[in-house]
Amino acid sequence: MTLNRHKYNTRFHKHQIVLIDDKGRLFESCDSIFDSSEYIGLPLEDHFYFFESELVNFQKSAATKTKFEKVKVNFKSLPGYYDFVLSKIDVNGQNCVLWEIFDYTTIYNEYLIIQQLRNEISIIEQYVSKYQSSKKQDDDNFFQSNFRSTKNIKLSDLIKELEESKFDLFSSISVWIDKAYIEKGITELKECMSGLIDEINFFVQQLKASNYEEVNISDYVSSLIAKNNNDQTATIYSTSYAEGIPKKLFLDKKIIEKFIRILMMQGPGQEQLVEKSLRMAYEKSFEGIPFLVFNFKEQVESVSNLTSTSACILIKITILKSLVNMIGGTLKVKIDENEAYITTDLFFPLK
Amino acid sequence: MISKKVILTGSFGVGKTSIFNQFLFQKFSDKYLTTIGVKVNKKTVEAKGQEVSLLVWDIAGEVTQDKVPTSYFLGASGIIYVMDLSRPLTFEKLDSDIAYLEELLPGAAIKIVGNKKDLLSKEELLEAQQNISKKLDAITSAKTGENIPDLFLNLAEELV
Repeated sequence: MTLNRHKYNTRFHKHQIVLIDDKGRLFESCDSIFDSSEYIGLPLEDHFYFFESELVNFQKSAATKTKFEKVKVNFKSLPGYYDFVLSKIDVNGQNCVLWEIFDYTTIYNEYLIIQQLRNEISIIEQYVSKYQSSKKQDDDNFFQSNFRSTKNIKLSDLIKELEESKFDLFSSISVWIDKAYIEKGITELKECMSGLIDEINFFVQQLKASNYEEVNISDYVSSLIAKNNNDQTATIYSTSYAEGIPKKLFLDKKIIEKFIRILMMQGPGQEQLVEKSLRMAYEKSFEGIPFLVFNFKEQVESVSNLTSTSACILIKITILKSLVNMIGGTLKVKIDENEAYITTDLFFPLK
Repeated sequence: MISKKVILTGSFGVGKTSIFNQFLFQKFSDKYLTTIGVKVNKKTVEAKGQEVSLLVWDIAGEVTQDKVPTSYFLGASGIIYVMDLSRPLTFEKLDSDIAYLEELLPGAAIKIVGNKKDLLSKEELLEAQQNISKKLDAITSAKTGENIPDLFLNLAEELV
């Protein structure tokens, strides 16, 4: 499904119609999105720079209709992302312009998260390729100008930054680069990045298809764990279910599968025997919204220093945080005192 | 007052929004935040003794310009095509992109800009310039603000 079909067919959106007279003044509006009363009779371009160029350009052009998608303007009454459609119409012999505003702020914010992830991954891939083709592969400082150095930062500090949303994919890649690129990490990082692009693209497709059905949750999750576990022989898994989880839930199975796959993703630093456990619970928020909670605990290493293993986990958690935010959920991360285990709590909203 | 529409375009992550923010608000952030669609703002500059209102459109980066909605370019007088000097992939499509923009907007002033100068050593800067198929109109750093006001001023002078 294309973004346009997704927008127009599956999501509620607000729509406002504004009539602009032949002098560029606001004539009439249905006010579904913003109250136009203070602008009636005034030239729109004085308050709304978009029209300083676009009204003239449109009136000069031969087109009778034109559309501008994903517009963000410096107009206090329109703080989100909108599609604008301008149409030439005749009102009592006057050449007026009909301005239609479609509010797609929610959907464009989702799109923004995905585009951010895709672009960051692609930029990182470009830097890695440049490094590989460079003659200066022994230059420790190659990446330092583009990525923040995390040499003297503890893992717990980074986890805290992640919790406070001060941490992004570039930061998590910085950890990786500091720890792994000199040895063999570059190729693995490239593989990891292209794998993540595939995961994200699939996630978006699935989100747009939105195929909800009744699922026996413990059977389904156990089968997913078993399926993923087959490829990860060096990992010890334990899975448990808290009391109170309804036997059947209304879920999109492929979205759940995507989250579990990313949660269970094994980095190159985790080739040795590691322990991981998944506990699932069911909670309701203060407002009564039900959440399925994935409590995922994985071993790092019992040292306070950052390692390529922890770098891999940070990349994974950063991606997960963006994806779960996109569907209205949240993610919390904790690290134990010895910095030996990272616990990720993923709150997955239910319908 | 003369009013001119100016488009900031180029691949993603090259620093278009940073140039936009540096020009309009003299602000810079190290954190990369992608742009979707278009952001519009304006600033008045003085060029050749006249006040010129520059309506700056900061549009989402695309790998090739033919992917940008043509409605964004409608009536544009100036184009600032931005590349990241530290990422060669961002200048790979320069020739075809410029040819496309010249055909779409005949007569528009086009400025080719290499950004993120602050990330490169002198040697690397020279190497990057050798790999770019066209002459750069400006080498900028949105981070330090270097050459940003001049870039817009030169464009405004060309437009009046």
